[in-house]
Amino acid sequence: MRSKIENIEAYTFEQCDSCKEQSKRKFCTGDYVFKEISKCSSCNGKIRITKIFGEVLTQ
Amino acid sequence: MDFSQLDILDEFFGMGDDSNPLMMLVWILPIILLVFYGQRLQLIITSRDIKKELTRLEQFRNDSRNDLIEYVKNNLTSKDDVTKKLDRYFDYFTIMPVDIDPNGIIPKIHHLVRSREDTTRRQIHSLFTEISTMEVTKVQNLVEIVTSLQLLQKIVKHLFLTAKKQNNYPLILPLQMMLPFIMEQAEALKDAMSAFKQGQPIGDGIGPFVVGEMMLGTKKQKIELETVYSKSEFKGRKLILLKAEGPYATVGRPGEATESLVEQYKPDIIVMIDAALKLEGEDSGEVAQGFGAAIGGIGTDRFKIEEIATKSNIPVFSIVIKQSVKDAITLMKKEIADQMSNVKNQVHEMITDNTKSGQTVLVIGVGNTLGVAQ
Repeated sequence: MRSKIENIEAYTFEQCDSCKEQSKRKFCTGDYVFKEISKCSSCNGKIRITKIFGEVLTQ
Repeated sequence: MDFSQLDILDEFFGMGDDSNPLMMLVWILPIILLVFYGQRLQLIITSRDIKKELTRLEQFRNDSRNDLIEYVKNNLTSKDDVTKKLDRYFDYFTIMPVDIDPNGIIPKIHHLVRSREDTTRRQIHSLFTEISTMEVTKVQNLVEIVTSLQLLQKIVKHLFLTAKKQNNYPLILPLQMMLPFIMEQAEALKDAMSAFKQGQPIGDGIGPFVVGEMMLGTKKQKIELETVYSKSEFKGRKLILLKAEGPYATVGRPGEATESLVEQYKPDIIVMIDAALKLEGEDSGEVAQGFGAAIGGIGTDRFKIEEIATKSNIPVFSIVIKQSVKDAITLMKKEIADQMSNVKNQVHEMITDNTKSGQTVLVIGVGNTLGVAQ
């Protein structure tokens, strides 16, 4: 039986402080949790990184 | 020709006769061989397995060392060749204080640990022309990983070679039993390199993650080296929130910070949030509540918190998030990160259940706050 190869991919989860709109993208160097990224395009609120985590991709 | 009459087997092996000397030799020789050389044979077989693991361990050590050297060469401006100096740091050892008279051993251990940390930090600073606090803490942790791998490899090699040199099978048994656990730790350390190099949150950072979220929008103040606190309010209770200063790769100084905050604010209860090692069969990310100071490390910070809590008669409650050794020091898994709101709710519940309006609560997020600000 061949052993499964586990690849862990890092993701960054962003959320707007006001309208709570969320988005998920791949982790970029310089990201850290609670970092203010930009202004929300829909409500002009602050978009902040709320989570950085690893997800296992099994091959 | 009729072969049915040819009884070769019976002639040579005495299948029908128990007293055949050749047959007796076939059985007795291996028994004699195993009685006198059994342990040596086992030593040869076991040695082969241990040697394979030792080679892997050496590979881990070399890979992580090369990774670190490559990282500093690519990302930092060094004054001269850092390889030689880093190689010297990997060999650093710590001589623990004399424990035959245990009276007052904790302050000695505390002094020793802090001296080592301060010296390493200073030395890392001196290696580079310009280096930020973030990079210093990252390199400090990376050096610590390589040092641990080097130490593991040296100890395993020493035990293995001693057993081989003495030709002593029982001597290799403890190593054979411990090796799977050592390899688990070594693999976790090797995998931790990536998260530390990229500044990603690790499983151990769940405590600072919860408290960091509670600190959002409050005024953060420095209380100790790489340690911050802020004041907040919840249902009429005054909250004092404490964590290591993020997003640096540090655990801060929670022991000393708790001593100062208890003297200053006289909290009615202390709530600690930390990652804890899960038992086999438990799931990563399981949350449990309990009593006592939830904090790992060499024990000096726990001692300080227990000491001040006992002296001031403050109950200490704790919430732990279960995870494996590997989960704790590698990139935070989704199932651990997803527990943040649940743990925060449990902290709030704990506060309302154990305090009245107007009382003060000290909430401590314990762990390495790499990649988690506040």
